[in-house]
Amino acid sequence: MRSGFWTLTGREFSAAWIKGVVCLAIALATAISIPLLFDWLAGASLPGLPATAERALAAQVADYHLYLWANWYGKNLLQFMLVFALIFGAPALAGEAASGSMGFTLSLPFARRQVLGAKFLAGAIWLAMIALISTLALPLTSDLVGKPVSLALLLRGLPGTLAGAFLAYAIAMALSAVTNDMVKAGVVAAGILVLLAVPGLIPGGSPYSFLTYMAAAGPLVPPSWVWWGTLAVSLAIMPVYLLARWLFLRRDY
Amino acid sequence: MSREVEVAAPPAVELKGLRKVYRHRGRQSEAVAGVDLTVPAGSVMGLLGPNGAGKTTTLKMLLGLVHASAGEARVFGYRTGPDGVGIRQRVGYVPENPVLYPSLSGKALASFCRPLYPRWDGEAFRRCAAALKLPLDIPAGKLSRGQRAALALALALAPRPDLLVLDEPTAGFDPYARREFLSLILDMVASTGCTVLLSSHDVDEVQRVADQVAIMAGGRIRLVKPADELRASEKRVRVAFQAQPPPQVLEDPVIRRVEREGNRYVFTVSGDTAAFLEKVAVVPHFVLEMLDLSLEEIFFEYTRPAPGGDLHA
Repeated sequence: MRSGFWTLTGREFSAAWIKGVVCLAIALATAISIPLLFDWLAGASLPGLPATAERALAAQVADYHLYLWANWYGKNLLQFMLVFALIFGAPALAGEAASGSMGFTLSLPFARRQVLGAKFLAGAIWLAMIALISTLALPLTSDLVGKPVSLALLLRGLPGTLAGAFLAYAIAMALSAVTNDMVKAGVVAAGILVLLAVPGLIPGGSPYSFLTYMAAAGPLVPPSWVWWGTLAVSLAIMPVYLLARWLFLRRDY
Repeated sequence: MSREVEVAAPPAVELKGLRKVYRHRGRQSEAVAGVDLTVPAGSVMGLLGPNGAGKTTTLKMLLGLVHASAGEARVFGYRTGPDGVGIRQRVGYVPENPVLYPSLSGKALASFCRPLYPRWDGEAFRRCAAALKLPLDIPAGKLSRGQRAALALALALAPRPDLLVLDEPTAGFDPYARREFLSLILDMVASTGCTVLLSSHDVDEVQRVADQVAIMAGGRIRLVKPADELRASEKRVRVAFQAQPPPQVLEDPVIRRVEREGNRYVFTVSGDTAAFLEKVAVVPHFVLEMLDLSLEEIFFEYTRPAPGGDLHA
């Protein structure tokens, strides 16, 4: 007899395929466009651009690695992964509760811990796949346009991004355990993420913001902070997950 | 000298003081107010009750879908709860309005459920689906309510459960499907000896399949009896006395309700009805007759609100 946990994880994974494929397509299209746009940006004259933006652009086009890093980890992947984490996390439990199929799931021989674990794992796999596949598109496209880059260097940013995304996902899932309204769960989770990002807006506070580590922003924090910070964000996932479990175990369906 | 000690098998279901209080915005409402119920293994228990009696909440507590505020529920001697995987492998459940995974067809749902049960019987699933004329290739979300209930039943029967919990299962069925549904349950009971706990407000349905009847109202069990005993113990005695009857007749503990017009009385009695009839017969009377109550009349008797709004105890 196959373990119920893996059976349910497989179902949860396949149930999210439309969502997963759409999110992947968006991230992938963006990742592919970044190397393709480099030459155009490098040669473009953009009249009316503020002086600071012009200086930032000049610095980026002077170093292709920095350009990739800034436009992928620094801007796009970070935002995508936060939104995707909410898209996957908020309906995870609330959606099934609202549709009524949670009663069916929980009447099958699954422990609630397994149900939560399977749902979390399935969504986490999708998020990891989206981040990894779209990030892999950067060096592949760079090769195609004749600007080879180090794959290892690019992948170094992923742990921080994924840690932040999983934290956001766990927060959304915890909120999803207390309501049948997935929109409400997503909006409240987004509000909590905004609060968690506030330290990054205070001068000198960026090491205390999880977004810093999601952006894999080596230039903003000392190198040692990047790994300690990523570890701290990763460790924060566990209590949030346990909170989600505690809430889910106590819920009536 | 060796002595064999026989250990009695635990009942299929045992509910003790089961209570559920819902709290919402500072308000409390008691859905189930201390239910004690034992369902012997191998029996078919019909749980009758009007809407809002607490039947669904009781069954959900039994399955661990709803947490009990007090008391305990046991299935085959094991305490149930949200993590009772072993128990749920032995229990099939058809809820009142089954919502299955809408994108999965009957076949896909069977493939999903198969690895979860050690005794999955694919042939039983197909037989049940065929008997209920269930299309297995259509996504569950596109099935009618009755078809979804039929699919839920096929999925509940396929693991060859020791206990089948059915909560108003035939609500969306036409009379033909209802008949087929009940036949399937009876066949299942006859071939496997599984226990059935059938919640319904349809008296005919319960009468047809149940060998034990429990009546629930206002969150409490009002009556539990074997179906055959029920007929013998619940009667109506109509009598026209020649004069005012003695108090020992009017105060007999078997009397549940008295309707009176002059010296004509109609007693609704529960218990040793023969002894009551003998007691009444010695009092001078013009007319005396004892009438059987249908299950429907018994149901109304136990669930009718008292003049003050409360239920008759």
